[in-house]
Amino acid sequence: MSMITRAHPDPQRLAALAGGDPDALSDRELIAHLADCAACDGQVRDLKVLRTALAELPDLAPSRPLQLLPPVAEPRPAAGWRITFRRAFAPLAVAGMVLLLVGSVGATGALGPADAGAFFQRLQLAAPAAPAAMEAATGQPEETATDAGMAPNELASPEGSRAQIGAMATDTPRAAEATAAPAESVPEVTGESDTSRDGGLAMVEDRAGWILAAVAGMGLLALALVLRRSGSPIDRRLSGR
Amino acid sequence: MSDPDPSRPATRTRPMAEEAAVVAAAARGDRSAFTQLMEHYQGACYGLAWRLLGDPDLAADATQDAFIHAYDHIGAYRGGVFRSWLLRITANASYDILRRSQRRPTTVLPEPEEGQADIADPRAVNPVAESARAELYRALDAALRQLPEDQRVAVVLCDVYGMDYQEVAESIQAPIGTVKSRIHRGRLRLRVLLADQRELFEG
Repeated sequence: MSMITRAHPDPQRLAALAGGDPDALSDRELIAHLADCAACDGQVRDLKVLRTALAELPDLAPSRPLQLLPPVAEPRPAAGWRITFRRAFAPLAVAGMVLLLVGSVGATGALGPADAGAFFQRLQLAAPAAPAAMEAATGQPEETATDAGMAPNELASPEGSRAQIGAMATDTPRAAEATAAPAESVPEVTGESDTSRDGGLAMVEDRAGWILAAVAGMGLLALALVLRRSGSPIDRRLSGR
Repeated sequence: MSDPDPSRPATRTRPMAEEAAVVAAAARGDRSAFTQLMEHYQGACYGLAWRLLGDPDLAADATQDAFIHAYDHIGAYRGGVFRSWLLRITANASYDILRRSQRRPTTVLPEPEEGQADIADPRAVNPVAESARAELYRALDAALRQLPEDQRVAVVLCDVYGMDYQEVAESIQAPIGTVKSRIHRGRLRLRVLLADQRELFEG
């Protein structure tokens, strides 16, 4: 019978050893004690058996049927709207920018800086005459048409309007004469500036396509911004949030 | 106590065939694959939750919570033993419920009710041995339910479900030293509680 010369270790050290705790396994004093103490050694063996049995405890069938999958969220229409808006934003914005750029360059850039300045100057001078031209095109103020030296029925149609504008562009003396006579109808425009005004209108017509492209580009840009900003609120509204 | 017969068939859920492929499919969003995994491991998850919570309804709730969490995070699963990953989620869900309910079961928790009995082992061929083993498991579960809650949780996670100290500490949000102490004291107490049923361990 071996003599136990050391006090029994803390039982928790025995439990740690039974569980394979690295600290306990490397504790030489503890291991040496177990070699001499049958009680402590038996306790460790019991704890090991206990752990083995615990590790074999079986799984259990659930007390009620479980939902194995979360319910599928209904696809929200808003998601489609959002995606559509987000997808539409970029191409619309790009198309708008391209149109704006091309239209601007076409209307002004191709002329060079000096010509562009002259163009805008003419455009500005021609601006007060534009309402008169529009009125002539619609044929409402009869005196304006007659003042321009043309029969009212000649201006009562778009063809008449274009004929007038064409006449202004090609027959400058006649147009100057026609517009100089009725000073009361366009009092601000002098006879000297009439030529510039007519030239501006002609340039507007010549470059109408470019200007239209630039305006369309701005419109597309605005639409793209509206879609981008309105996507989320519409989405929230459709989803009820 | 003597060592249990190592030839006894295991009663734990084993990994699925081709589990890695199923897990990968589930991580890619295959709901059918995810369903397969949860169906396969629901007994393991529920068993853990029941042993931690001691209440069938709460255990089912915890298991359900764990499934939802697993579904939401399986895309972030980065390999390892899938069963361990799922059990850690279940342990966390169970411990959350435990903390919320502030349950302090100091008395014996109810036995598993009919319908939630141990999953039958299809390889069982010896009714006598199976009966003895079932009795051992009942005794172990009964002893576990008599442990103080902190010791029971630590022992169940470590000794029953094989988590290491660090994993247990993370699950119950306690220092490792505290976890070790709880586990060791729990083992010692279980040994005392089962001292008069030593014959169950000799079968």
